[in-house]
Amino acid sequence: MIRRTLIALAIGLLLAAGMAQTVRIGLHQDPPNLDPILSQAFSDRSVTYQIYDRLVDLDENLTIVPMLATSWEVSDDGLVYTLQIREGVTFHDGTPLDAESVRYTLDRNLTREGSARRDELSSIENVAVTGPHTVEITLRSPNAAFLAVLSGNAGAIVSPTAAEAAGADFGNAPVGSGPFIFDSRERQNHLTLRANDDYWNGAPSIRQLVYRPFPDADVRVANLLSGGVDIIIPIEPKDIASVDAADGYDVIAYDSLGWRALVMNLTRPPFDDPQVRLAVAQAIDRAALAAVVYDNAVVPLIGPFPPNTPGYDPDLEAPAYDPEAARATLEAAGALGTEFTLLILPHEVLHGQFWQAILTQAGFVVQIEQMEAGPYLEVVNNMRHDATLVGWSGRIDPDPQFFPWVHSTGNLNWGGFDDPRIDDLLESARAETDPVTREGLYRDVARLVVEESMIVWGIQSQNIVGVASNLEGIPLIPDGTVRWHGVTVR
Amino acid sequence: MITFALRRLLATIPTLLVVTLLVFGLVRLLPGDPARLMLGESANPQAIAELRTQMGLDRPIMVQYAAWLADVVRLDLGRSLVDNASVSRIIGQKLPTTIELSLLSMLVALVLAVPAGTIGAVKRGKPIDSAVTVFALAGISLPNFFLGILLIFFFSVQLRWVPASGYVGLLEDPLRNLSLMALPAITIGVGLGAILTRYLRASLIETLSQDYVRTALAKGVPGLAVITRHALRNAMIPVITAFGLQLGTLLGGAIITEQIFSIPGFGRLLVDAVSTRDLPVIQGVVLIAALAVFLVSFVVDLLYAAADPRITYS
Repeated sequence: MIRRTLIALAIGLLLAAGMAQTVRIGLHQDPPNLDPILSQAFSDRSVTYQIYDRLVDLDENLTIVPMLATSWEVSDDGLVYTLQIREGVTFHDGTPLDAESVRYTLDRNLTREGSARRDELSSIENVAVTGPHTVEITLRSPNAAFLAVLSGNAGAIVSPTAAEAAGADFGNAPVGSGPFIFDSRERQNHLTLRANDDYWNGAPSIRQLVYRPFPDADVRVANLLSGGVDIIIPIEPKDIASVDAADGYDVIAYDSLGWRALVMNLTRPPFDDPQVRLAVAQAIDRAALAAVVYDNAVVPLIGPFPPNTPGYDPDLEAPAYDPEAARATLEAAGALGTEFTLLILPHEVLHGQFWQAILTQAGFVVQIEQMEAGPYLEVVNNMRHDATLVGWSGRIDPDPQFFPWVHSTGNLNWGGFDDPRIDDLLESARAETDPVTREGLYRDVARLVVEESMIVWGIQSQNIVGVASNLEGIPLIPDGTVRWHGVTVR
Repeated sequence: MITFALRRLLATIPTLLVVTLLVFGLVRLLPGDPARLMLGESANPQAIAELRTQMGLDRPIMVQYAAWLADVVRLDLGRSLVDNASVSRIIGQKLPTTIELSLLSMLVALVLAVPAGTIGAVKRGKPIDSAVTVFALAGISLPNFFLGILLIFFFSVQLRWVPASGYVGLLEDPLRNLSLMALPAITIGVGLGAILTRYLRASLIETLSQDYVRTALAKGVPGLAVITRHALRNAMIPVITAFGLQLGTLLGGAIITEQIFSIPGFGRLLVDAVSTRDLPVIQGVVLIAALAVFLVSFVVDLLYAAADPRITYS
């Protein structure tokens, strides 16, 4: 009898251990592409960061820390980066990782047609292998953001053998040197990675990661609460309370690098008029926005650089919230009753309605127009909108964080910025090697944009995930991508 | 019969050609550039242009159509723009799942509709008939997405009887597969069953008033036998038509239901392809769906003859 109980107990424990070693992750979409040169989506990075090691990584304080590059030196003129590459690392296919693999990967990022990495690495002039584990990267001009770029997909090192063999299919058979190995995938169903027992930094405690896509937020939460998955990334603000209240589940919210803001089309009425924009800036009640739309899981933000990122200016001031002043400003500008269309993406409905409500109080007449991503990008890129609500994932360095939005040649210049003052400041900041002077220049740009209400910021986004309480050691890195290597299941 | 079948099949070829033209044209009318969507909002224009060239989207539209059609004729539906996988292979992977879901939904629909419709017709005007009518109306009015989420809430989150969503292959683990398919099949089956209930009830009421039914009853044939052996069989003919015509509804329902229950089927594939503007996949899925509707209406025509010996094809 006792023996039988013991056997049953042993089997139970084994089963429990087997279960405990698999972590099932619910994502909001099926990761589109796992090839680092084509990957763009946040959901991609949830996976690629496990498969590929990057040259450097970030820690919770956004400090750049060694990963495949064990150390680096920058020449005095800021043009030459000498990277020591970790020894004794092999890719999942057995190919040894060396300086040549790094050169191959950077070259692939820069030269493949349609590479999404080329812009990020555009400052590279030359990559030279100067030793079996030494790489020398020469830049065209100093770029203080360069190392930060290498902490993302641009610094993800791929196995040259596998990449050459797979060609255009590499995204379906990804091979890196990371803590997890690509195992299998059925689109729209599951994507499975298994632990890399030979990982240079020790085998991960989790044996298997299974990613499953749930585009519908209600379904995502239902799967978490019914035990179908162990973590959902992200969780919608409206679901925070129910997950928090459920036994055995937690909500983790931590600072991200991103923000949400109202981007107005400065090239045409009504927002070509600074007074009309001032009225918008006076009308926004950020505390109410955070409470009503985001259940207080986010914090108000008035400028482009959140407090946890470089470029943040504690002395920055935006027009104070004052609904009566907003109305008076609009009236003084002779623009009471101004009509405009607020363009939003489908998941921003609540956010859009909030802006509609407060701007209606200030005397605007606001129509909301919803559009899915495809047509949305066509409209904003061709400046056919009045104003749009933007959610930006954010970047670590102030240059990629802000340049694309407000420089006249920026890729995300949806406000139609064409202001020599801003362009000059941003260009000098790019060339500046002294970090203090450089940060000062970004503060100047931010002050200019905020003073003239060219973009009206609302909140700093947060990374919000719902997790089963038995997952321990999830690192809270502001880029929002979970590194699963050190996580354990209790 | 065979000549009829052949003629019908030949007649679908020009229609299918029109379908290919429509599918191709409509997909190109969709605003949104696949290359831009793939490279993301902050992509630079040069990379987008290169990717467009690589995808073959910079060629004149008629050239693209001709090339696609030539491939389709050779049963090659092209390659996905997103991950370069063969469209035929992706569809081949997803189709069995949706077929299984459709068959299970039909089963649910029949299990609901045949008894409900029959009872409604036989007990016409009685309280139970009103109950049937209310059920049918509710089933038709309740949208799939709402019913699906209600079912998940009760059976998965509250009672924890079945998993909220997901999919395991039927051959891998039949029991788990059926437990995962139960809620989605009910979600689609209720709506379909409600429609069929109404058809069957109306058709059976008409049949029951026919002379031969009265004769059979007068001869002393038991009531149940009259209904099952004589009336139901004749009453089924318009129901079969309705069933065939509902294939479109079924596929439409599958698109929404697969989305809710995270079932990796045909509908889910289509929605994902539309949001990434994966043109070859959208074209492939719509073409195969059109083909399926043709095929089913063809089979329905043949079934008439089986159900009603008076109908012959020559």
